[in-house]
Amino acid sequence: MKNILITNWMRWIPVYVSALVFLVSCEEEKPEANIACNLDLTQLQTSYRSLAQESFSQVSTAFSTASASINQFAQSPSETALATAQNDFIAAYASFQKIQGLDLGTGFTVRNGGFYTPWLNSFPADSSALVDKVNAGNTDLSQFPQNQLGYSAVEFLLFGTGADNAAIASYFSNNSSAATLLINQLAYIQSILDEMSAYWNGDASAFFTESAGTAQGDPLPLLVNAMVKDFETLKNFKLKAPAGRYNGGIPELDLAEGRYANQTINLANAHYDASRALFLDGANNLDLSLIEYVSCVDSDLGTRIQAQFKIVDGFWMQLSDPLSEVVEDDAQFEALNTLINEMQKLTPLIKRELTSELNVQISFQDNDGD
Amino acid sequence: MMEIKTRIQQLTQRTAHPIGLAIFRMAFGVLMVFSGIRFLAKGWLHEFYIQPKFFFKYYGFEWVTPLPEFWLYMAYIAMILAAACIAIGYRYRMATIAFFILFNYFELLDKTYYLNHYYLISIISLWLLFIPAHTYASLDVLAGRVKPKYLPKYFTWALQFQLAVVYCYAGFAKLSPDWLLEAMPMKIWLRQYNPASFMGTILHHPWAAFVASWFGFLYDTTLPVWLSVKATRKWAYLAVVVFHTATWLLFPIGVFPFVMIALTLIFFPVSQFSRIKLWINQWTPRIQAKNPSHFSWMPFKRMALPIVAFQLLFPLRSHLYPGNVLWHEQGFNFSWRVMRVEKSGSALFYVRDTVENRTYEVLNSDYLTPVQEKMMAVQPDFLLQFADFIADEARQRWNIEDPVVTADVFVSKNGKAMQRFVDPTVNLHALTDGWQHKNWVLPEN
Repeated sequence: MKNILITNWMRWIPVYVSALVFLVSCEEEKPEANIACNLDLTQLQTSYRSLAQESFSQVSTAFSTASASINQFAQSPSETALATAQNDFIAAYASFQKIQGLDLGTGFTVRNGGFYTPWLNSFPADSSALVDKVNAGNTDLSQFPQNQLGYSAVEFLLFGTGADNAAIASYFSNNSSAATLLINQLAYIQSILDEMSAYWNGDASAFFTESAGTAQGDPLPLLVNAMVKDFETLKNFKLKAPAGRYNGGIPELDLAEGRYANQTINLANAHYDASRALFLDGANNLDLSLIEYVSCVDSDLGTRIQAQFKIVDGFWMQLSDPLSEVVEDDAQFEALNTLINEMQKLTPLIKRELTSELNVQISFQDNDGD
Repeated sequence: MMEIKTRIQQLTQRTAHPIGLAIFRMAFGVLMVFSGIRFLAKGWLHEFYIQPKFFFKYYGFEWVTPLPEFWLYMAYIAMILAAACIAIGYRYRMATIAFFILFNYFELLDKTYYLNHYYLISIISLWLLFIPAHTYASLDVLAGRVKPKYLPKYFTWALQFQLAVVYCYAGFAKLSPDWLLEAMPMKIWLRQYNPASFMGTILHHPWAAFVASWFGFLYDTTLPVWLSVKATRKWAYLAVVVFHTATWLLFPIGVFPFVMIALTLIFFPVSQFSRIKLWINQWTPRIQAKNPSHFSWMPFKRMALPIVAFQLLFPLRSHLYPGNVLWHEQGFNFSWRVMRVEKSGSALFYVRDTVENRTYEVLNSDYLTPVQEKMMAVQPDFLLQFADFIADEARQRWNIEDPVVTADVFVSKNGKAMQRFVDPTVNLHALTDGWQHKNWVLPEN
């Protein structure tokens, strides 16, 4: 009897299901369906690995050029040698912006491991601590904290140790420790660049061409997290902080990257170009770019991201160094704030919508779900 | 009326061999030990409860604060030991009380980490306070602290009811067009494999998400029925194993699949465990009398009925609020909406000093961990708490006497384009949290 009842009841299942479908379809408007996407993630990741190899090669070349002229200046300080060293260093510093968005948090072991960017470029450099160390003859970098190391430290030494180039050259002439510290900083930067170049060219990063997925530790989430984090660093710390956005609108120039060289806008612009290239592949360096994958999954989102980047592009042309003049000029300061506002609009798109669409967890903080 | 009363009385007098409850107890204890050790090994105690500068509190439990680091670790280890005692049935009463208090203490520290399966563990640990699951196959029996005895069936029914509530409400929550007709958010979740790989080819296929969504809906909604009917029970349990193993492989949901696989055994009659019983009887005193010696229905009823009523009614409270609960999240938690929505949000707070006419942006990462920031951006009660916190910060840091806190919050639900989530002109600091409808949350487009 029970079986008959169950059989009778089961016979009505198609009717119940149809009724259910009808009911729920009446409840709300249908959201847009997603298109199936068949792009090969390993191809995408392989092209980013190749880009990383190329970028590190370019950064290393630029740094080698700078190293040579800075060494020359350190060994025989003069205003002419300093000017050459400064020019080459600015080119190297701008070139370095290319690899900040490739900082995955893996492959770096020189210091405590983890991310290399803070060990290469924590700005602003702690200028008074560096001067103290020069005065004390302490040039062993092994115990130096992040804000006394790397590009920002070299920038201070080359641009901030005197009121003008004559004073800086004189400072180095009279302080052999300053020259030693400068040379040690170069060796330190080179060691990190070498290690990361070896990582991208070696077996350690081969998983980019093999593993594909969006679980923790897979190449795509590592890459997307690095790119998003890099974009946020640029917007929040290289633009918003010096523009005074966290200080009631009162600019804080001493927080700016490149403050001693008066290169804040130039470096931020180079950083933006690098970040944009990683997302959009403007220069067609990638066989398959992230935006192509995003557009494949959700073409509307892909279009919105590209459109917003295009809006941001236009505002950079209105700005030029030094930042101190930008914040003094109402029109330029307004342009800077508009640029920041437009970049802020990219944050929800790339940090939340893009990662959600690609099913990438946007934090290195592991936890369980539902 | 009298007939119903008599029938209920008869039902309360039904007894069963306690092996089913003993297996439930052991499985629960072992999984809690494993889960606790895993939590410690991953460093989550430090990341979740020691590292953060700010904690999101449950309404009414704002007074629950983290202990100093050493004592926090001690409390967590004590909780794991209590779970181990539950598993082996050692000082079971004390162990269940300790586990209930300690587990819920950690849960109440920060609602960022609310998970349906943690809530289930809280509720099961509450039930175990009143269910004598140690009257068989336990150290308490071996030590003579309790006599092995048959137990009233209502203890088992209570646990079956609890699991049925989880499954059914999880199923009802899926009765919606986005889940059934658009297969969202399943489509997003199944994208975790390379589209060009074998698994990716299957999971990225448009039908895969639909099949998974419909199976999930039908499975959750009807499973308790299949588990209750003798003819379908074994097949239903096979489905439980397959379903939860698949969810474990596909989604980052920790030990939850194993908890459900193990605890669902409570639906099997004790006759299914006869071999295990024979083995246990070799080393534990046998049950002498078939009838329970001193279990009275009344005390259990007084405790069980409020829990049953709460479990049936509380998940429905979301219907008292206008709009879609998946959007505004009023009444979302504690209602078994398991794996129901994929949301992402972005929140940028501003503090306005009306006297000096200055606006300060807030860098959330100065105060919140990435997970806290992510959870805050999509839940209005979190936004209010953080607004209060940064108002206090503004008073101390910038000497702003009467700070106005507003926010640009954008949320995307189930793959839709982001839209503004809260009214950007509202001073969030001036609002108070509570049960009332949060009309400053903008409606979903």
